[in-house]
Amino acid sequence: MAFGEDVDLLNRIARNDESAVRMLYGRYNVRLYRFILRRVRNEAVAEELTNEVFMEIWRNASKFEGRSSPSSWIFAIAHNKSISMLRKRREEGLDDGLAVKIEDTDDTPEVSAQKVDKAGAIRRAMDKLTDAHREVIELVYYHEKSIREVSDIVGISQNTVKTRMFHARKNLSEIMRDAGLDRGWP
Amino acid sequence: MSEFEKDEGDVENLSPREEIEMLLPWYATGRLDESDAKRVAQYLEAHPDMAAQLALVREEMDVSITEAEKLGSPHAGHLGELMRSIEADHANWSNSATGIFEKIAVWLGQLQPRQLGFAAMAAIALIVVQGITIGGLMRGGGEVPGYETASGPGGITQAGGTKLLIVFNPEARAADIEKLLGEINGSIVSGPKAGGYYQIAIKDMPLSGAQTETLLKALKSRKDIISFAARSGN
Repeated sequence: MAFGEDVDLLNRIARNDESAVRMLYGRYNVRLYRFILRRVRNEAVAEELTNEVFMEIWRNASKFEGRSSPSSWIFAIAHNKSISMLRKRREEGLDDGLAVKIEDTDDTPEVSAQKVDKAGAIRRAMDKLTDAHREVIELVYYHEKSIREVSDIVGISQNTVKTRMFHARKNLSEIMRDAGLDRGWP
Repeated sequence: MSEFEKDEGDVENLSPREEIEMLLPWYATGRLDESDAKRVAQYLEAHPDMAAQLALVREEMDVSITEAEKLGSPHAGHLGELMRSIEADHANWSNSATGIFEKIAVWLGQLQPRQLGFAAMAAIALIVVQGITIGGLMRGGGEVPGYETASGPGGITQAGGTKLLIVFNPEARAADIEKLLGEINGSIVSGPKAGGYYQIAIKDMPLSGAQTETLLKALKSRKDIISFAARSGN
């Protein structure tokens, strides 16, 4: 959705227009849910946090000042809520209890023997990355965020975005190499 | 140092090759600015061996997209839960004096609510009273089927108005949708439901069968905005 149209929806939400919430929800709910789920790894928690993101948009739309794109502003809310939830889990020692492995749809008897395939190896390596590295990879590749947008969402400098992505990719290749698949880089 | 800081690196002393390597993911997604995209393209042309790096990036991108697509969506009742929470929040907020004034301040001129002094609050309160009074007169006159108070947009939909089921064209601009809804005196009352359906209420008097058919035909002709239109039950 174009920048201006998202701004228009946020302005309408700031004026209590509930239909604008519905429209914004239609535009963003799946992307936000997937973004949050990859971080918190629990479907029920991801749904709850997705709703919390929209509640925060509802309450604070008038505070959007246009210093970042509306999309970055919205994703930054999701990022912050995910980080808070993960910290809370760690503090309460609930990390293992809540963490649910996302379904491995390839892991059937028929295909388990083919786990040496490259795509499967990349996927498994991605699962072993740190949260921060996995997040930047998903923001860039799946959500197609620019360097500036990732910077706005995660709250780090643009140079750090570039180096974080670089190190994430490097770690990915190293994990794959340790698993027996050398990609020839780094 | 936390895991969120430890990869802060020095990008000042990178070799040209390393600089290009760092930009490749955004080059692959088409999200580099024009000058950087041109720089990467020129480097790739001059250094064919870098194409292998770009191929690795594209492999990672494919897997990342495929994995994300497997994650599904929130369950069907999710939006309903959200809207109930918003309505409850709205009701709680609207019932507090501060909430009313803050919302009106935003509506009137993007003022900073907490910067409003007592005098401004009093002026806004007067406008609310005027709006409610005018609304009451219009309702009493019986000739105007819908009205709006000065406190916000949207108006009040009268019971018995015609309801339609609409799917908006995914390419439609929000501003065009809003304009079209204004033209037909309609407002979204629920949705999106599975399949992207929205229920629209027409705020005028209930339309006859023939009038509804004419309206539906006109809406269906707006393919740039509407991809489906039909009558809806209540």
